[in-house]
Amino acid sequence: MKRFRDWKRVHGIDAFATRCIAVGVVLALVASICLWKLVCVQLLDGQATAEAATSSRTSKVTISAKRGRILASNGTVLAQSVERYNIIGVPDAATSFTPIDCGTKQAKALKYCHSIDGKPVGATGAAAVARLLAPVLGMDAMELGAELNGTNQYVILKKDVTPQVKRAIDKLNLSGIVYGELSSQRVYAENTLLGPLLGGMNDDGTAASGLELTLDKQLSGTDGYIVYQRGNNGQVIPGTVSETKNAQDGSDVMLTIDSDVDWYVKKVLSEGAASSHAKWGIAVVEDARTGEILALEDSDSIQAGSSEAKANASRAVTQTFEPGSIGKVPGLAAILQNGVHKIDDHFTVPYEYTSDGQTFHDAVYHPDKHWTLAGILQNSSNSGMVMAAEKLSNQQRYEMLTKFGIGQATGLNLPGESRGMLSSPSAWDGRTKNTVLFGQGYTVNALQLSRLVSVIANKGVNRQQSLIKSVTDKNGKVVSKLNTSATRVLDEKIADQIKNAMESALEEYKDVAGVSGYRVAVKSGTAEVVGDDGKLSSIVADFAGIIPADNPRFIVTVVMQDPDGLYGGTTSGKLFAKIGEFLMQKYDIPNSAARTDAIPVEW
Amino acid sequence: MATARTIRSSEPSSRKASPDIRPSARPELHVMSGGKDTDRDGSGASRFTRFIAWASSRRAPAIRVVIAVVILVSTLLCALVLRTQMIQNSFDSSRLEASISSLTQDVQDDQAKLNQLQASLPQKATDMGMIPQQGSVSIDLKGYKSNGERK
Repeated sequence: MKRFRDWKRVHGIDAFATRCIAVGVVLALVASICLWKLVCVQLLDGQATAEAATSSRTSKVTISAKRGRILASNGTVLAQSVERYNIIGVPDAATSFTPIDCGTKQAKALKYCHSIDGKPVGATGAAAVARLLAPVLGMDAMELGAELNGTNQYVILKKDVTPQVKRAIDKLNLSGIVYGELSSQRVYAENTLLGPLLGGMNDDGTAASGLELTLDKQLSGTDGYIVYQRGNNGQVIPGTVSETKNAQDGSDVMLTIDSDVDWYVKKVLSEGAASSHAKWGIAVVEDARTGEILALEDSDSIQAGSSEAKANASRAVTQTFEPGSIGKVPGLAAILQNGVHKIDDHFTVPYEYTSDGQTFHDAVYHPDKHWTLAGILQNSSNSGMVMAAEKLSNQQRYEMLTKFGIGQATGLNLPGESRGMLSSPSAWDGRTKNTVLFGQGYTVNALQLSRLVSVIANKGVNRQQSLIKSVTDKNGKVVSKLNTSATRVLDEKIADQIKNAMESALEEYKDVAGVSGYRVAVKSGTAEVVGDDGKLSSIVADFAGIIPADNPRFIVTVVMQDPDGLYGGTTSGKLFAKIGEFLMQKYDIPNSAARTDAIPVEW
Repeated sequence: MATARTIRSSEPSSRKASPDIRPSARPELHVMSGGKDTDRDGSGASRFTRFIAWASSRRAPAIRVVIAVVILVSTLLCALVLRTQMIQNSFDSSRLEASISSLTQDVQDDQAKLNQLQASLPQKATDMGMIPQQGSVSIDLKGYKSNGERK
């Protein structure tokens, strides 16, 4: 200490200078601590701090892809996606909300205020938010208030509101309390066109059922994203976009369905099923030349996208039934193709016929008749069919049925589609081997029935049906999805002979099922099926035809369960005629020339 | 640099003299090499080079410092202005994008409504009492003979 004082004296440093130095030292110390901290922050931890700051600014924003549309072949949009918002409330913030009255200093400072129709809100907290929000959302203010009351951070107030409503909510100046989350809604054509066939979407945007599900791969796109640093309002800080991936929109799928035809078929079917008190009805219209399904409807009224549509598959696809006498067509084809008989061979057909100890009889009593094979088909005689097929082996019967597509998948892969039931010939008993000749002992769906008739229309070629026409990706590239495979299963001559006999079959129903000006080849069927009581108390009346018969363009199939009036020809046939007439008008089909080539039906 | 500059600037003057001596000979040569060349050199890089040369030829060293500082400051200002402009543009673009997306939504929405209306057109027509054309009338021209009136 003494030495220090001596040193001070030698250097002439007085008390003031000492204090100055002391303060200086303290300041220097503080400064060096600051400097050290600076070094720590900037140099030692610098990178980590900068990264933390960057990551808090950086956000990955998802660019959602748009789901493709489902279109009808005539361009009508059957299903499409639109942007919607889910309105989210933050009850925690709503509870502490105080509205800002207009005209106050606070309102001027904030440049906004809250009012309802120019009047003050007149409440605070959740009630005030609810009062502001209720008219915009079209909801009850009390209910909204109850939902917004609490300490939650997230309550969905309303789902799938339009962008306009969301913008109206943005203008309420309730930021931090209510906001919208982008969502997507699937919108379907207003009527119940193809409802359950189209299916629906789940709330989370995944496909639930129907074509939406089976075509999901084509329809759904891939979400993209953009990574950037954002400012307070979400704007991109220039030069910070580090990663982007564009959203890939889903492809549009075009069906072969023509919405106009489908609509008319639906209308005819619904009215027809209602007026004849049928349990249900199904109708199919197929383009004979290409196998495209133009209409596929049933009498159910299910709106696409509804919970019913999500739970049920289309009846037109799932319902199977015994085709009844329409099944005589493959039966007759087997007889002719295997050379057992010719179309104009003579038969004396009794009402009742016994084969292998099994007795078969016709629907209506008649004395012995002199019919040709064509006449047997025209009069839809069961006895005649069994009689004519005596020399036909079980295997030959079975093979012809499979060649006509019975028991086979249609290849359309529709959701819930049933391929019907056809047991192998080894499982047939003494009766079944003959009942299969007239459409009993196996089941089909309406599409298979249409396909069966299409073999005759196509001059013996079994052409695969199509329901999906094409897929168009977002670049506009169109890929055809039509099934083009076709197999000859019958000689052209034989197919023409059967078609000729089917034309004769119309004679009986000409007044009901005929289409004036056009030749039509048809076959009706009536089959007893198991009803609700578990007995054979129910009937299925079906009717399928080729129009025009001289130059086949369309195959129309109508099926109804339990219509008033017993026979397919008079019930379903009436609807067939209406649909046939519409098709001829719509597609401007020239009138048929008079029929001159009828194969004799009697001898 | 300074020497090159001197040589070049002396060239035009020497050429300028020649037309005075022989006015009728090669007037074009004079016009091209003289005026135009100097004009082109005077712009851009060469003008800057000339300026640097001038600055370094000054005696007072302060002027160099001043020039350096001016350049530095103006560069910084320039960067600042550009940066501000970029941010301004970014704000504009995000505002525009928001408005584009809201317009797109509106278009989508209207398109969806239109599509739905189109799909319900046949039903609406029926509700209004319109019926699809039924039956057809055809004229069979088989056996028709022209009576020769038409040429």
